[in-house]
Amino acid sequence: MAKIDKDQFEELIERNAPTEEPSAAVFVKMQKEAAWNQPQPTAHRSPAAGIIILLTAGLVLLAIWFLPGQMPESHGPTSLRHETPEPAPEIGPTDVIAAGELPIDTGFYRFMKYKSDDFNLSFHDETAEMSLLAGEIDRI
Amino acid sequence: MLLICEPMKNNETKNMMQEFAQNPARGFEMLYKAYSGPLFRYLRSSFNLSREEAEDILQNVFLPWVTTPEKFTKVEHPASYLFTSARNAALKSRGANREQPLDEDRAEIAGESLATRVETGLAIDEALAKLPLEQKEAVVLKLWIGMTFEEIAEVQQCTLQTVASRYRYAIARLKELIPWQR
Repeated sequence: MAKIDKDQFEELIERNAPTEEPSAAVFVKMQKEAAWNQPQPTAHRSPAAGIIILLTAGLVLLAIWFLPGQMPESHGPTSLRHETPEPAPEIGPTDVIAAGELPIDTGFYRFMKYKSDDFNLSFHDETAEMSLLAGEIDRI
Repeated sequence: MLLICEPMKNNETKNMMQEFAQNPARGFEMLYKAYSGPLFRYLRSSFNLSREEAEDILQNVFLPWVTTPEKFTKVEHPASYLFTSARNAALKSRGANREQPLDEDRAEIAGESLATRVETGLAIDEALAKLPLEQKEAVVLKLWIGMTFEEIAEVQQCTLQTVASRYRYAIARLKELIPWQR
C-alpha cells in the first residue's frame, strides 16, 4: 500500500503523543510470578517424590486386593485361598484286576466259593481244578 | 518518541523472540521494555482507562508470558499478539469506552487558552474522546504507536481498507474539533 504522507495536522497530533509509562511495580509483580524465578525441584525432593509414588502404588495394590470384598463374604479372599488346588494324592500302582485272566479273585467269587465248593467260574482256576480233582479222587 | 513498530521493522523482533526462546528471563525483559510503554499508552488513550486499570490489563497481558514462556516462543509478531490481547482485555473490562477522567496535571490547564490547550495536548485528548472507539484506535495506533495500516488491521481484525477509512474519517473529524494553524 502506498505510504500516506502525514500533513501538518497529523504531525501536530504525533508531537502530542503521551509519554507516560506504567509503574515499575507492574514489572516487579510479573518477575515474582515468573517461571524462572520459582524454586526449581531439587535433588533432595526426589526421595519424597519416590515415597509418594510408592505409597500410591501401595494404595493401588490394596484397592486391587480388596476389590473382591464387594462380593459375598464366602467368596472373599479367605475362601479363595481354600479353593486353591491341593496337591493330588499320590496314587500307587493300581491293582491289576485282570491281565488276560477272568476276574476270579473278586469278592463275589470268594463269597460264592465259600458257600459252595462247586461254584466255579473258571476252569482255568488252579485251586478249583485242584479241589475238583480231590473230589474225584474221593469218589473213586 | 520511541515507536512500537521500530523494532518490528527490523531484525530486533526476531532477535527478541530468539532471546526469549533461549533465555526467557532476558528475552522477557527486552519484550517488556519495548512494548509495555506503548501498550500502556494505547490502553489509556484508546479505552479511557485509569492508570490502575491500564496497569491491571498490562499485567494480565504479560503474565502468561512469564508463567508459561514455553507457549510463546513460537510467536512471530509479538507486537500484534500483545496489542490484540490488550485490546480484547480492554473491551472486556467494564471501564472501557467511558469518559476519560482528566489527570490532575492536565485538569489544571483545562481553563487555559486554546493555544495552551492545543500545545499541551489537552485539546487533542478531548477531541479523541469524542471519536468512535475504532477511529480513535486507528489514530492512536498509527500516530502514537507507529503501526502500519496492515498491523492495525491485524489488531482490529478487519481489512486494510476498513482501517484506512477509519483513519481518514478520524483525522477529518479531529480537524473539525481541534482548532489548528493551517
